[in-house]
Amino acid sequence: MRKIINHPDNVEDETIAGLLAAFPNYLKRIDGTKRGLIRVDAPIQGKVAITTGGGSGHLPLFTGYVGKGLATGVCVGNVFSSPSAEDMLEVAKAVHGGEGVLFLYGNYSGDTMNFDMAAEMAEMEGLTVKTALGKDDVTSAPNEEMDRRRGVAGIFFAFKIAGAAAEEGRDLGAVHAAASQAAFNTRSMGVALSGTTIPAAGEPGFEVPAGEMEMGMGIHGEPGVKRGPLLTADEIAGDMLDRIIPDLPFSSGDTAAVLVNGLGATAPEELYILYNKASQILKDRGISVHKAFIGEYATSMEMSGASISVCRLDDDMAKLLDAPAHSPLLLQQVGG
Amino acid sequence: MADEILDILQVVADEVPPQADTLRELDARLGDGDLGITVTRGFAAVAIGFPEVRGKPVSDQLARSGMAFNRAAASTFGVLFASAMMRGGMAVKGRDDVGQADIVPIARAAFQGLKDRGKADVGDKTLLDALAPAIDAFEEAQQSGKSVVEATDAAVQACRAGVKRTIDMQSKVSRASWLGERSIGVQDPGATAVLFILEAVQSWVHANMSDE
Repeated sequence: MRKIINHPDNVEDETIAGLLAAFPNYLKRIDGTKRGLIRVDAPIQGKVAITTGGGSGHLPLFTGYVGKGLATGVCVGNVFSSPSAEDMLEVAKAVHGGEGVLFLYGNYSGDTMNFDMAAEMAEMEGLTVKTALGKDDVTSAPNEEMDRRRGVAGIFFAFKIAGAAAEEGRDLGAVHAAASQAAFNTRSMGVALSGTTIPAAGEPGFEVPAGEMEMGMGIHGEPGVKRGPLLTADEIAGDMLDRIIPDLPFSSGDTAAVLVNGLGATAPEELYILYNKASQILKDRGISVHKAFIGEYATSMEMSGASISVCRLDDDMAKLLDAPAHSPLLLQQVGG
Repeated sequence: MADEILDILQVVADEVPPQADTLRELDARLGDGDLGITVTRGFAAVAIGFPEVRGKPVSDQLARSGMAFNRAAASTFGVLFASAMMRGGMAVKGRDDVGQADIVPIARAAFQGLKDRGKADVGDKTLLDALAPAIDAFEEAQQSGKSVVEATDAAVQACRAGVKRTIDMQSKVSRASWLGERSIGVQDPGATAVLFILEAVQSWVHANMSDE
């Protein structure tokens, strides 16, 4: 393991401390919680609050999605592990502005069970909670078993669209609908060129041999669909879109937004090479790209690889996607 | 039975973490490999919380121990453990006179808590496949007039057989289901953890109830 850390057991807490030191005007920790962080201006009265959370190791996901026009609060787990239901409850209470709370996160069993428990506890305390899940990874389960699919980088669109709906003052039902529609309309696929090491484990949880790649591997090393020799960028983009496009399906005449996401150790140049081909394929299929996002939106520490996510937009979703939003961790302009 | 629950949990906290490596290895093949860390951190936190709940009703001791586990080691197993302990405790909520006749109702309520939280059922290759036969065997033994020691032995034996049966099953829920047929041939780590817990309970029962 070669990482710039102090001690494997302190990685999560020292990351949070660094974020709070860097961005005191954006983020604050909730008193009495281990890892509950909220917007510095939360609770925002009269607006629906969005709570997210998940394991550490994916920055800018999840903490980087807390900001104006995005999520209101986050609970941070250990690397690749769910936060606790109790921290989630504390975040929900801290962000609640009187209009209810949306739980928005990725579909992993530890997270869903803890968030479900938190939702039950929150409702016992009089809060109204609704849940929307990212489950965009097309290779993680067949289309007819969507509920088993993992959430990966495509959850970006749900944060952006639901966050704008909340900022606009829409009610919980409408914010939940916006998040659900964005999540449902998004399809993603990834490729991994190397593994990653959980600091507390000290050795790689999984590895991809030199010169090979694994199509469809999850962001925690979950098994993919095909391991083989490294293909060209154009071949990879083609393979990904061959699975993504028929899955929704995206049709000629559709408008979509595209995200090409780096997993942590892949150069931005490679992401633009992937997007160059992806944009040509989408154009050839008659799918018009409203907006493209290229960069790191959901990483897996030092994993090398990338994912492509495509989200079909209607006029309202396009408007919400374009609305202003700000987080210091999302470097590319995400709205406005 | 009041503080005896804490004595039993202490034995669990002493005897399960030393077997963490077995759980980590199984979980690395079917899940994300964190189950070893989870039981180590979780049970340590349970034991640290004992002074706060000593003398409290069994329902509180169970619920607070479950929450302490998940607070220290939030995870699929952590939240399932917490849910089982809370629901099990609700079966005897507030009562000070919890006894042997309550063991099965507590276990059944805990089992239902696991099913509800995990949205899984027997046969899905989960910890339910270890726990269901154990509860059935305990209840059957108790109904036929066997002692708690004998009933516990029957439960552990049935649990062990249930754990072995998970080897040939295909995972139908959660992270392991993404492996599809590749999950066949590996013993379920959650079911194995349940066996380790029941074996620890068994050692307490043998040490403390053999002369009854």
